[in-house]
Amino acid sequence: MAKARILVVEDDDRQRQLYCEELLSAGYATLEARSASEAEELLSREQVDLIVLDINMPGVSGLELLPRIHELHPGLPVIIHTAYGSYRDDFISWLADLYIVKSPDAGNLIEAVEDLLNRQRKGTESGKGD
Amino acid sequence: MATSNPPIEEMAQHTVTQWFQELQDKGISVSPSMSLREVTVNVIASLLDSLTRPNWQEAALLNLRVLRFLADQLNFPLEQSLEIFLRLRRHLVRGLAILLGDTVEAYNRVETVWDEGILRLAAHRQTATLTALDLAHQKYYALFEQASDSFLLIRMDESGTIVEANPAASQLTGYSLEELHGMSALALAPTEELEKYRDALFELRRTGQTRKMGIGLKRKDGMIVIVDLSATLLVLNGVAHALCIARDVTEQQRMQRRLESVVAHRTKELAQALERERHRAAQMTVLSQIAAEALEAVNEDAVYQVAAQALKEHLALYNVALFAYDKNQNELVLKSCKGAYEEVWSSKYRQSANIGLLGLAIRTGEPILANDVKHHPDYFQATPAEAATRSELVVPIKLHGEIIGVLDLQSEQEDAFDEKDLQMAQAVADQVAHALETISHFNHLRILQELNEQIVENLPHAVALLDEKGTLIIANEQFCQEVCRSPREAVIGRYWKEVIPEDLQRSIVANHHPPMEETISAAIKRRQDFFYPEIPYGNVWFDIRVIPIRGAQQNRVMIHIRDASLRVRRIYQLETLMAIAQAMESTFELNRLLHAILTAATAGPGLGFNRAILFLIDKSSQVLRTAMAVGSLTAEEAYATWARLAAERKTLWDFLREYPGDEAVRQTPLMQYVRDLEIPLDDSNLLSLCLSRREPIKVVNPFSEPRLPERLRALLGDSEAICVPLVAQEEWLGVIIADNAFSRHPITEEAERLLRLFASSASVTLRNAQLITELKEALEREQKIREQLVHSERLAAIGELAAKIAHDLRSPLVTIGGYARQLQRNLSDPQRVQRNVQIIVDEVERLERQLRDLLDFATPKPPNLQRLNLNEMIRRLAEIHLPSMEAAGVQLVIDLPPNPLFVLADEIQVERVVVNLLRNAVEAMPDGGILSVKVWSENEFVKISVRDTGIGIIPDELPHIFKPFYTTKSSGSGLGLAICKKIVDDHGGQIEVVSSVGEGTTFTITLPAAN
Repeated sequence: MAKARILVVEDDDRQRQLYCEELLSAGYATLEARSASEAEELLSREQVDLIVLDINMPGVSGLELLPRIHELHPGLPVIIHTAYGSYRDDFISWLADLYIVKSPDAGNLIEAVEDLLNRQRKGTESGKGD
Repeated sequence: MATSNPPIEEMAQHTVTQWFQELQDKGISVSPSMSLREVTVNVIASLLDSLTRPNWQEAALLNLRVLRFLADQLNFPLEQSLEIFLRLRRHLVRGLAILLGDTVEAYNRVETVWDEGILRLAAHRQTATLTALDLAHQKYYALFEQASDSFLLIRMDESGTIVEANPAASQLTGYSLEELHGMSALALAPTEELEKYRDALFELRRTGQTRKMGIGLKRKDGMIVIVDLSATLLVLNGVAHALCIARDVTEQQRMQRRLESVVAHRTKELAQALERERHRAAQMTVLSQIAAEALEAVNEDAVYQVAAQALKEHLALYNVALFAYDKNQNELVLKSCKGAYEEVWSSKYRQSANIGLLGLAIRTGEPILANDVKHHPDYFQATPAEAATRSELVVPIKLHGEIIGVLDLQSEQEDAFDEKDLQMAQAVADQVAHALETISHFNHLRILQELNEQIVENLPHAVALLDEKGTLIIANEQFCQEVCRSPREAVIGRYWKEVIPEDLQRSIVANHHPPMEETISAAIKRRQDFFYPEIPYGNVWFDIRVIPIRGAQQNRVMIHIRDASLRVRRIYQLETLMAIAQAMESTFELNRLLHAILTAATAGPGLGFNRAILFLIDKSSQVLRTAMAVGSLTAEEAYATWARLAAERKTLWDFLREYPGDEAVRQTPLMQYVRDLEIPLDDSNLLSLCLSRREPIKVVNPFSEPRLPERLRALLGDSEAICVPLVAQEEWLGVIIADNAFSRHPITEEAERLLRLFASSASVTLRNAQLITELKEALEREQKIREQLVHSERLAAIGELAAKIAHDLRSPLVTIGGYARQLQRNLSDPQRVQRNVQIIVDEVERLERQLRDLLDFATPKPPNLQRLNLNEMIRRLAEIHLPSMEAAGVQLVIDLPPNPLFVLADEIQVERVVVNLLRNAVEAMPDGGILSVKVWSENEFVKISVRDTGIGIIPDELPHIFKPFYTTKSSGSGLGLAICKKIVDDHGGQIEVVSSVGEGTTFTITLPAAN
């Protein structure tokens, strides 16, 4: 089975690097985007299995990007990964599959990615079985 | 960036041993050789480590406490640090809860602890203050509505918008309240009085208070009313307002004018009275002269001549004639004639004793006073030349009951003679008769004395005659009794100084007149007369005249003293009323006003009470309480005070103006005696009876009056006292009780009337002053509540700020934590260790920078201004930053003027601004570009511009970039430009920005040049 490809959208270089490294060591392939526009551009040409999306970014924010992903790539799992808990109050954030507040321990994120991809796979498999 | 913050490092050095010890006490392993940065890393690492433990709460809290301790060491502003840190802790703990599993339970745990926190507290405080504010408002409006004066609250903007007005103001101006609100106050100023209004405004701005008397106010109907305007500057919600109180004084002014005209009229009467006095004094002189010269007269004709001459000279008569009566011929023979008809009548002139007024006098033996001769049935015009005569006074000269001649005085004015003249003429006629008899008896000396004594004795005034040596040779009964207060034997033959009381002589000098020695000597030597008007003596006033009398052998001096008390009192009373009215108008300060009220009742001859005590109603407990007392407690004190006051020669005005101060007023013996009297408001006592009847009550013998409180009875004793009620607009204010315990004068109807008049006017003023005091208190209270409200709003704002700061601090914490964890797992990979440690160090630095920005912003330091060479500074900074710029692909262009430019500035602060702008510029050009720095001089200023060719700032963001916590960068405190602006502002300079998207941004700083 090919490695799942995770797109990390994060403007802070160090944090993006940190989470990508953690995902890589957990056995995933990663793609990196520094901004919403870079993410859109990547999505248009690359195959992506899951998106880890930061919200607070200069220019287009993660919350603005989220509906467009939903529209253009329906069913693509998105994890909101942000330093702020307060965006939970924004209904747009509900479009995402998961909402995770950033932590120095990437374990949370990796567990979430695994869960989500598993669920996705099961859904697809049971879909096949039907 | 590897730069450290010198002040923080320095401070850390100072306290390092001390707080390292404390850190160790808290279980943090540190050694004095560690840098601040290392300590921070250790603490954070320890914090993160603690989160993995089962007892995470206590463990985390310990670390957080250490963090807080660190922040304390970094000198977080004391006032805000508590608030901020409580908040910071809350958010960090919440963050920790999320880190620990992001479960509802974790949240709830933390929320329960902190949700009872500051925000709720602040909200509660806000509600409480709002309620209090509301109450103050109600009170304030009630006062507003009640006041009889007009109140206007005016915002001090361009047009002076009226924001509040009370019904009285509406009534005064004729505008409805709706019209007044939002109207410009200038619309109320009559065009011709705009200057006065401007003056008032200027004074208000300068002193915070103003007062204009008699300023015009234009009503809606265009009518001008005269008002007294006083205004106080109030700052409400940071906006300057003027609280104006206007009182319609049109009516008062009319009253005052009437009062003035009464006084003017009185003054005229006084002048006339003085003129009459002068006239009488002249008459006195005549008598004395006749008496004196009679000694010299050797024949009858000489007596006639002297008498006529003296009368003409001293009384300024139109014509004086003396006729002898020839009984046999029944004819009148002209003996002497002085004046207008001197030439008309020959010395041999005779006329029948049957005709004219002269004839009538001969026939009836009575004097004839014809003040309109043309209409007198007996008038006879002897020659056409006599046509000028209008008034004539004819007095028969009798000797031992037999008519021997007539004295004929004529005036060209109507109503020239009065009863007094008649008496005088009779006295002269008698004297002439006596002189004639004297001559016939050749007994000059005896007769002279007899005559003098007789005349002098009969005069209605005190009169004394001094010889050349100043010895009293004659003094009438009045002089001895009223002036010398000694029997006649003790007066005659004594030197004047021994008999005229010393007090009187002192009073003359104290009233700025020359001493009597001078004027008596001048009268003897140079025949100068002198007039001392209205000299106070005891409780009377004297008019004193020193009149030289020319004798044949020696000069003499007559001292003439007349009681002027009645006149003085009347004029003083009128003046008093006016002064009181003005004094009461001129102050709203309650204590000052009370003092003025009581002083007016006691000072001088106006109302002239010995003491006055004012009781005011205490509304809360419904009793009368002593408010103030003026006067003396004992007779000794009273006499001492009076003696001092007489010497100081102060006017009532001086007394009213001079308020000795609250403390001095409280400390007088009288006030001490009555100070805590409390009188219930029921009709069983005289004071409240007086209020309920609204009538003054006179108490003849207070000592035996059971309806007075014990202490008052003892104080007032057995001399008359009077209670007067103070009532304004149906409201009872208080009672004044006044007495004459020391002078023991009865209280006259006049005094009672005046006190009553004055009490009613005092009541209105008192009520207004009370209202204003209450209003001022209400406004102050409201202001205080407003301030509290602002304070709690500020606390809430700090709360929000703290939340924002907590978020900002979290981002580097997450990064640090992440790499630190990686580190733990990859200790065997040296490259990874090296890189992660570098990242952690960088992030901690970032954290530190953010904290420093925050601190700088929260505790701004005033610039330490010194002469700073800008060229040098820019060159130095360029040198330092050139390598990092080149690394980022930025080309630096420096444009400096040939001659160095100097500014007065704090070098560290200005450097900070420039470095900040340089860093921003580099960050704005991620793909490289050109950074131009230019310095130039413009007028009094020096300008520095920093221009980049970067991404630019979109127009929507431009207005916000100097706001604190505003940032478009993914990392950064959002404080950099805010601090820059603060620093430049503190230097009295400006910072401006021009930007266009895709082309670049230019920041320009303007600083005042140093000469």
